[in-house]
Amino acid sequence: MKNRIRLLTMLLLASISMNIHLSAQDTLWINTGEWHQSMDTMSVLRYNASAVFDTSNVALINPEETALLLTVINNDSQAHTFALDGLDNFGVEILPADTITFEVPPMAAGTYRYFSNNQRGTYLGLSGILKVGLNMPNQFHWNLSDCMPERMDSVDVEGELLDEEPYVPRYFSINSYTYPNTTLDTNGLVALNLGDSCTISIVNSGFMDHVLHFHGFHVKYLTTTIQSSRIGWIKDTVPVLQGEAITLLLVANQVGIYPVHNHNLIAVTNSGFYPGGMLTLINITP
Amino acid sequence: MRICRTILCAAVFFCANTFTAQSQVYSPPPFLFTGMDGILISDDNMEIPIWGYGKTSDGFITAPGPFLQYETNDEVNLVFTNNSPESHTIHLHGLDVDQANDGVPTTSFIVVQDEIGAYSFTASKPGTFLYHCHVTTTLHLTMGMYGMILVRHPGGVLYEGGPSYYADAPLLFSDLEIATNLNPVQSYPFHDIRPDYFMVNGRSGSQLETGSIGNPGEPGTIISCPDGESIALRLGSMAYTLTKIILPSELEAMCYMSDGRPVPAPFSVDTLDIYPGERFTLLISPESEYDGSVEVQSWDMVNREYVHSNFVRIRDASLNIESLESQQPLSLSIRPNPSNGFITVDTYDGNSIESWRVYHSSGKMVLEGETYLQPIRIDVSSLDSGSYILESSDGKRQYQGRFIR
Repeated sequence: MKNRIRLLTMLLLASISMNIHLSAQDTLWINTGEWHQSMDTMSVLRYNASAVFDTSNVALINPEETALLLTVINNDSQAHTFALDGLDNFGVEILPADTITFEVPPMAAGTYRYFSNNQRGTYLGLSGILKVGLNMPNQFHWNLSDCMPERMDSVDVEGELLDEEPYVPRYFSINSYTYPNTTLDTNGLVALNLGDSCTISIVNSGFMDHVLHFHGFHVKYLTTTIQSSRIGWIKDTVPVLQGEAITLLLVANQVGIYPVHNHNLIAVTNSGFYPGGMLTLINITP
Repeated sequence: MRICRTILCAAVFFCANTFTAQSQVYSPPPFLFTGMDGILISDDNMEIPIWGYGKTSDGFITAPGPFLQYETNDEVNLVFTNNSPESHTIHLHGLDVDQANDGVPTTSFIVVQDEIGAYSFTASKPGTFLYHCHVTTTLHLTMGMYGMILVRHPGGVLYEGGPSYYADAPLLFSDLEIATNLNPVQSYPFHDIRPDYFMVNGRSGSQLETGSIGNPGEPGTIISCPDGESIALRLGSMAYTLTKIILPSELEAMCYMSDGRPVPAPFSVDTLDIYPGERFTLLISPESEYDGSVEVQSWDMVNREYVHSNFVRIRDASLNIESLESQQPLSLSIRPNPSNGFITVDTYDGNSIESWRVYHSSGKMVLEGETYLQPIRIDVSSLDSGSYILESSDGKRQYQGRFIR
């Protein structure tokens, strides 16, 4: 009897061990490119899903409590890190023109921010979304950012931030799109049928707090990496603090087209002109 | 591209249909109107131009606009006339109204000059909400086109099964950039708007030290609380800054609601961050004989720097509040306002005015008179353009009102 219990226990432990170490696999490329907005062209860095530059950082998706075997290929001329909010002291350095493969430990279900934490990566926009264990068929994500072209130029050309003038951001974006181009972004524009539900994963990759107001709907906090006391709250106006990652649940309980926008109203502009910036739509069809 | 085209088509479709439906003439007469010729008197007597909403019956606009109050499940038909040269709307912030009544120009309808707009909705959830114009929102908000909406639940409770309380104290936090208000036509670009005047219910600094709590847009900000009772602080932000509320421990503040919904677990609070567009409902139960202030800090959203503090006084009602209240002048109805001819002046309590005096905002008395005809009419055509204070008395009580010539 004792041997049988011992055997069952070993099998159970082996099973748990196998679940923990089941690994998903993905590859990221650190690419350089240009981002065009109004009259400004900015050199930027992005984590992409291929060696071809894309203006948006790709969203990584991984099952809950499952390790992720990640390969990162650095096409930039400088070293970068792959850091991850939600995991203390986690960071991997990738040298220029180097490729490195490493394991991201299993994580609880939720939305997280991965990013390069050196100055060049921070100012040129190397920051993306990791979605863990979000199982809803309808999922959207918003990677929020703000930028001041002069600071980006300083970091890109001079190699460091030389300008100590006050930060006056001119562009405010969702997944690197500014309104009205946010309506072209299938990852960001929330398109649902009446009665459907979805998760919205939000990461603030910018240099300031943002606050999103939902027209027509209240949303429920499912997870957050900073304001944990708000989990379960139902709100129409959601602050997303600098560096925070949030998962929201939206239930499409009425038809129509409704804006979602930053209610810090300087951020619904492009180079100061309204409407623009951090504004997208929810489109619910019958 | 297909999605974009679909949305644009849908937007045009909705715009065309709702505009036709909403632009007819309504009866009974409109409750609100919009104007672009208002003046806000700052705490250092500066006259700051504002745009805003006003009650048609009052004839003047304020920032914030009139405080709108409903009861849970009220069927609301909110009507306004646009008396200004620019188009305006009303967005019912947080009330989850349908697309047709959302107040967004491209997806709902816009109300052009001399047109009437009407918004229909059911106030299905109790709580604190806001309203504001959604036309060129970045500009129209700093100009003053916003107000607070309170949906009360019957039975003196915050919500079904929620705590009971004695009275509401609405506090609407807002700000403006004076240079923008002085010259809105030249105010582009908007990304560098940085407020430099900060308000609670449209008042600031020393203005917050006079009068018992009124509604946003009306005089009075001191909150009095009977011993042992709870006051519901209805907090909302239409600011461009982060509002940080510092609550003394003697108030025993508890947060029960945010954005018109109960929070899952009410919690005690001594510091509360309120971002633009957010609302919170706190219950405070001040200790006996409490007399102190809630600090309202404003923080720059871009650089997260502290910029200003206002203070809202909270006082135990037993501390001679009755005699203090009786010393405060009551409000007068003055219409039209502004006026360059005759103004009609009346009290809200039905008492008759016997004598009156008009003071320029500099303090100089410029007109006076006595009358037994009610309501009284005063010819202000001889006055220079500016802001004036009308003081009057019925022999027992003092009355006061402001008007613009």
